[in-house]
Order: sequence, then C-alpha cells, then structure tokens
Amino acid sequence: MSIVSIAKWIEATGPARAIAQSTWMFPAAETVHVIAIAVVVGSIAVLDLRGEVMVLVGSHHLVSDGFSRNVASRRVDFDIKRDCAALSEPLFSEMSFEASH
Amino acid sequence: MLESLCAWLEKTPLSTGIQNVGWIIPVSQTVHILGLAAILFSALSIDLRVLGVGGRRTSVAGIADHFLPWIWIAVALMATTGAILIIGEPRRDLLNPVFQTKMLLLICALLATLGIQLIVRGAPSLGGPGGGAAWTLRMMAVLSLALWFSIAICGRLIAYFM
Repeated sequence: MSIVSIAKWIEATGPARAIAQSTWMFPAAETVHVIAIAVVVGSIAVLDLRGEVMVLVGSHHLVSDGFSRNVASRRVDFDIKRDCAALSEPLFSEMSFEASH
Repeated sequence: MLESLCAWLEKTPLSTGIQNVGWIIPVSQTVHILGLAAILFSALSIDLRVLGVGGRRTSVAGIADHFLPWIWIAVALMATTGAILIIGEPRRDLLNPVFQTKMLLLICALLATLGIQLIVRGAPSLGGPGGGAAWTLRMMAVLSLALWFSIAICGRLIAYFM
C-alpha cells in the first residue's frame, strides 16, 4: 500500500470530508494545535532551562540570588547522576526562591 | 493611510531584502511561535498560581519573580520577529482586521501583565505558599489568560483572512 493510496483512503473517510467541507474546523484545529504546542514547548523551555539561559544572557539579576547561586554551582560541579535525580524531584522543590521570600 | 503605508513599506530596501531571501520569513515565524510558547506557559504559570489552581507550594511572588522576566524577554523577541514579518509582508498584516484586533488585544495584555507585576511587586507577601490572592489580582489573572490566548488565536487566524 503506497503512501498516496493511504492518503486517498484517509481523504475519503467521513471525518476527513467533514473537515474539508467545513470553513471553521481546519483553522480551529490548527489554532488548538498551536496553543497546545506552545504550552508543551514553553514548559520545557521555561522550566528545563530555568536560570541557565538567564545566566548566559547576563540577566541573572532577574532571578533571586539564591536561585542564581544554585544554578551557578550546578554549572561548576556538573554531575549527570545528580542532575538526572533532580529531574525526578517535584517541579519547584529545588528552586531556592522559595526560601528567599 | 494604511494602504499608502503598505505601498511605501513594501518598496523599502529592507522589505524587498526580506522578500528576496527565502528563509527569513519562515525562520521569523518559527521564532515567533517559540516566543509565544514562552509567553503562554509563563502567563499560565503565574495566572493559575494567582487563581490558586496550581503551584501552591511556592508564593505568588516567587512564581511571578521567576516567570515575569520570561514574559518580557519573549515579548521583545516576538516584537522583533513580528516587525520582520510585517516589513516583509505589510499588506498581509497591517490591512488585516484580525491583525488589527490582535494588536489591540496585545496592548491590553501588556497592560494586564504590567498590572499584575506592579501588584505582586508591591506586595511580595501576597498569597504566601498555599494561600490565594486578592480579588483585583485574580481578576487581572483571568483577564491576562483570556487576552494572551485570544492573541494566540488571532495570530493563527491572520492566515485565514484577506
């Protein structure tokens, strides 16, 4: 079964026809798709990179001192095992700004 | 007036340059969506914390301190890539009612975000870990979420009008 025949089969199904004939279904699906990808990618970018990017762009003063120190020390004695262990901890548990407020 | 602005803009060397180099517009669009990703998630994090839905282990001020810089950096990134897209294809955007609505909503969203920042910075102890937040702040959070999501929707729908 070639990719073209698979595409043609999908095209002929009920949902495919409904989406093709509707004026709003395709844009609506696209919009929800973009918002969903934004939340997924945004969470990875903002939480996984955390302070590292801030430190790289020299705006580490934007995050609290404790947080920057935490990030700085992680960068100095980088330990893959500890970093992997840290990933399984609850999201905000190691963010020092909790203690600073 | 907008019509003549577009006519002038699309003849500028900057605009023709963007039009002639094939990768500039797709790259700008991609970076623009990555900026949207940072804003939507940051706004969700702050606003849901303000509303007491999530992140209750950290104070409202703690969450805001961490995520607000991301919003402002991403806004700058989106403004830059957005400007490139407008200069490259002025008619597609400036004359589009969806784009015009989006810009109006953007001004409101920026004001709402600034408002949240001022309220939170003015009262760092507000809604300490586990607590809720003041009524005005909650209203601003709902408004902020509605505005940023509407902006994202308008952004996608620009392609469907005109």
